[in-house]
Amino acid sequence: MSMPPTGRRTRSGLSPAALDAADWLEQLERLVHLARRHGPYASHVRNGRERATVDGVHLVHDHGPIVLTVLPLEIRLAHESVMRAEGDEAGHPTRGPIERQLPAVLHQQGLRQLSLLDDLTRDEMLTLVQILLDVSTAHDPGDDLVTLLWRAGLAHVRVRSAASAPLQDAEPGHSPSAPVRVQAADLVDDRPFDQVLSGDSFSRHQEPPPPSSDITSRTTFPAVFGDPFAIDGAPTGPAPATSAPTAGEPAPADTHFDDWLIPSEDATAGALWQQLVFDEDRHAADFQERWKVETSPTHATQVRAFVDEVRAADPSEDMRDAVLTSLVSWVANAVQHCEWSEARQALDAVRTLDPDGSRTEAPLAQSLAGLDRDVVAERLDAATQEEQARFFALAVAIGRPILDLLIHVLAQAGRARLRAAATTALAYTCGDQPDALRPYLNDSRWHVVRNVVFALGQIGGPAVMPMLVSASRHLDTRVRRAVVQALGQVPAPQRTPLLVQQLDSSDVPLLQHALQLMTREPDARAASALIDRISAPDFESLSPERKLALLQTLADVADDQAVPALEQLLHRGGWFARRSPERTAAARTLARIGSPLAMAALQNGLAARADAVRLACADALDQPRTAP
Amino acid sequence: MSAKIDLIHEQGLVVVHRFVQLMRTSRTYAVGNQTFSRHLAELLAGLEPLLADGGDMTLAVRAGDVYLNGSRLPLRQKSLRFLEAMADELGMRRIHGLVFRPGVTIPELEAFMRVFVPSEQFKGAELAASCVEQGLDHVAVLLDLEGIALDVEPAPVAPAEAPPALDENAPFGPALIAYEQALSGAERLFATGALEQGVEMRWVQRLVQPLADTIGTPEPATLALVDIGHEDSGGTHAVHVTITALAIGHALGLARRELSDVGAAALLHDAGQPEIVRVLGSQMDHWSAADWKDAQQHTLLGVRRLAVATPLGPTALRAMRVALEHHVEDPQRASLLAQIVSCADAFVSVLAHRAMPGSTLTPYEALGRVLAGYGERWHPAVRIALVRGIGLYPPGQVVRLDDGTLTRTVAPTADPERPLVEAIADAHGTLLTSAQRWLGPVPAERSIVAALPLEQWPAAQQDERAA
Repeated sequence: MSMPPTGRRTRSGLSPAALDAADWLEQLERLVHLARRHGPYASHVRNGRERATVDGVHLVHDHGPIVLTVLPLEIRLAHESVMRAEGDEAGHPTRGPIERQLPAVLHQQGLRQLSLLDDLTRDEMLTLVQILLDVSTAHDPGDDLVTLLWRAGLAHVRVRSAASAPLQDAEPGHSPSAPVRVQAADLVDDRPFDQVLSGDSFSRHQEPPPPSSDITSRTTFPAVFGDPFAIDGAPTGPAPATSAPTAGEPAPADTHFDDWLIPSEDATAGALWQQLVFDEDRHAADFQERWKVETSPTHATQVRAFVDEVRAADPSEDMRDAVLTSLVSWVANAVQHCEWSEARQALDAVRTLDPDGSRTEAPLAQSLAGLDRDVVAERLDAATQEEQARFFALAVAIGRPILDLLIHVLAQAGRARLRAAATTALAYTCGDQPDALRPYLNDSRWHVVRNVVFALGQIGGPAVMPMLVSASRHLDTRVRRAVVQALGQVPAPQRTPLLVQQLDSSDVPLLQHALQLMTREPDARAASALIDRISAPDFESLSPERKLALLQTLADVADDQAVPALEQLLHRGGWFARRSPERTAAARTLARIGSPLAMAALQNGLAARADAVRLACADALDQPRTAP
Repeated sequence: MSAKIDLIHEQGLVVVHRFVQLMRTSRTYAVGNQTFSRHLAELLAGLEPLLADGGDMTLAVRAGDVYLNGSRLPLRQKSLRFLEAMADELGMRRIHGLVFRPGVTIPELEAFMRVFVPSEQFKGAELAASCVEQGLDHVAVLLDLEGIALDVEPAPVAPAEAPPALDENAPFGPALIAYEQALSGAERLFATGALEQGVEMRWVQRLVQPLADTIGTPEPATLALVDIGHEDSGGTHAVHVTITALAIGHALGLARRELSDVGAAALLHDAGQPEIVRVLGSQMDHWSAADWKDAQQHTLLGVRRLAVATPLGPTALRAMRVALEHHVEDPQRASLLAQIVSCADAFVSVLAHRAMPGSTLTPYEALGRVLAGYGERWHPAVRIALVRGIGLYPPGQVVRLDDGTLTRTVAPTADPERPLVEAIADAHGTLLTSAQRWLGPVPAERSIVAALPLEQWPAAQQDERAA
């Protein structure tokens, strides 16, 4: 099957129903992309949802029933392909990654066929579209499309789903020795089966359920259970449909024991029933009331209560670890759904059992590593400042396990504000252990490395120095500039050698930054390095900006040690010396040094034969004794 | 698709994961570095099972899909990123695939990676040529897909003993199909260690929802309660409890979301039992009083097992609570959800005793025993719902109508005292032939006058019990 050319779908030959279905599916796919970015309940997503609802209803009314078959890379209406995963000639997806194109999204959710029946109402379509948006924004291990549709009980929507669960799916980066948390093993065979979604009526066969009298026409009790009363050759004895035990596994019955004794109390069910049913309404009302109380607390509250009960019943280490595993999964799931408040609640629950995080650092890292990070990054990029702040506060609270995700957010961020916030979060997260950022300095994306360097600068201190040294060799100038900026937070004694290395940089802004830092605290090494540069044979070949920058800085850090080199520079050219910014700067620097030796050099200069020299010295002496 | 093909696909995904991971590692560590070498070893370990039968292993990419020996690797949530990354890596180097041959070694893989990693240097034909120059005999690149057959459909493997297919249009067809699939799924869940490997609750709910769909219909899955046996496996018992719990939940008027959670919790309520059996042994007749006391810990073990097995969400939380509380005796301490499952569990377990040799317990008597002996553990509404859910005359019970006809209960109806029945014997107790039988609700003009004790059941059933 060959893919169509990039960006264009061939629609010729499609029936009117298929064309309309294709349009509607495209609309849904765009809506799903929007919902991924902004959340399923953002205002413009809601607008799109309304339009998709109306168009969907029209589709069904005009061409219904609509039966869509879902394949991993394609959706079909009968035999017509109405949507395909698209790629260019090299197979690279063109409507976003393949797994985010609608066929893959629906297929992954377990959908194999979606039937929209005649008389589908607007409310049903709205529910269908909203459910699709809810599940498409992030994977949920508990509630997928099929489950949510089932719960909705839509009378005019039928679903054929995959009965089987995905087979084992190794965690990314799984190594044989690492503990593995995998997805579901096979549960049942792969035959698809219909799921009746109607809540009230058994509408499987599209006709109303047969009236009671019709059932009498079927005279056979299902033979699969055998017939102990058969007298004319019908099979006797039960024929249970259980599977044979797997070789090597204990026999199925061996995993179960009977934990209920037969009560000795013997009362007829009929009599007990009459007693019970006498007050049925009152009991029902009381049950509903209690049920409401039981189910009304938030999930977070219920979790906390349950954890307390379990720990009280079993305070062992094994139980604590098991509960922590569960709570970690809660954190990860909430992060995946960008539910920052819930994630924080989950994290608080984790910290209650693991205050220093030592038990959960690795499992958290592993769980967070398995998330679809693009979803989180995209959502944050479009989020409000407040939401972003909540995420970053959460990230700081989680610490190192969330580093990969933070870096990913940083790398994907399209807005400066988000990048800045992510960088700050990195600094806070790694403030005590800046070495955690080391691996990210090798990232192939310059802007990631640059921002990591920023974070190191925010952390400051001697501990970041080795990493800044490493980053100072980065190929990209922008990274090296960031390194110099970051050095501002490193104590002068540690940073000076690296600053000195920057004196040879051809990048003037970088050089100027480095020189600025040098002037903050006097350092003989800095002065010495500057003098060496000025005295070097190739000083003349430097660009005027670099020469001036070096000379100007020398004025702030130099002492009499610099006078010979400055004097040499002042008189360079001899009889043929001409006016130049460097000569002027050299004179002014001598004036700024102001020592007897420096002033003597200037006085000598006033008596020089070359006009340029005399003028430079005269200018310098007339200038106030401040920075040139 | 056969299990073997599935395994090959799974291993193929592992190889893709490890290859992509190796490429990511190469951004930080040079080829030959210790960390890089460790990942390389893991890649080789992943390749070896696929090369074990002596044939080449080909990973080919076409239109973004990755094919292992011509068969497309399945798209899954967690694998999609890696499959796409794999396709990108190959696309970047203008090749269409990789070939690995039996006998490939670490040094050879390392040599290959040295030319493969620098994507800007070697592409397409140059890359292929470099591999040759390096003397790589067991690793090669595919410059095109000529001669490579893709979308190869694996030959269907006929199961050794395929069970007869159930007909969805037959009487109780949907209920039986849902029952069979639930049994099959539950067996795999409990017997193959799937819980240890992790399971998402959406798949558990997928087993439960079709059962729930039948409850309250004229052909509910509750008829499967006639299938309860004394030596039922954990999975089978769990399905029976699930059906009963769903019937109770439906009778209580629970919404679909809640029903789904009831079913999932019921399916997993005894998740802690296998560990007890493993420790104490399966000969329960030999258990001491102390062993039985220890066995009560299966509730906490169940919580522990579920906590590790499934991501925590509302459904999973409910399942854990039920696992913890389904033997709590004080109805004020146990949640209502746990009481529903507890009630169902008790009934199914007592009913299972009926199947023991020499037992004279009937379904009606089992119901009476459960309500009398354990009823105080549960909210009255739950007890009422049990009767409404399975009927006053549970499936399998023989009852006499006022005209003397003997019938056996098939399934409950909206009126717990007027179930769906099948006539089996006339007023004289003579068994009816299959042509004489009828199946339907108790006729409007008739009523049930007695639920018969076992000794009054028609001869065929009694003789079987006596044996």
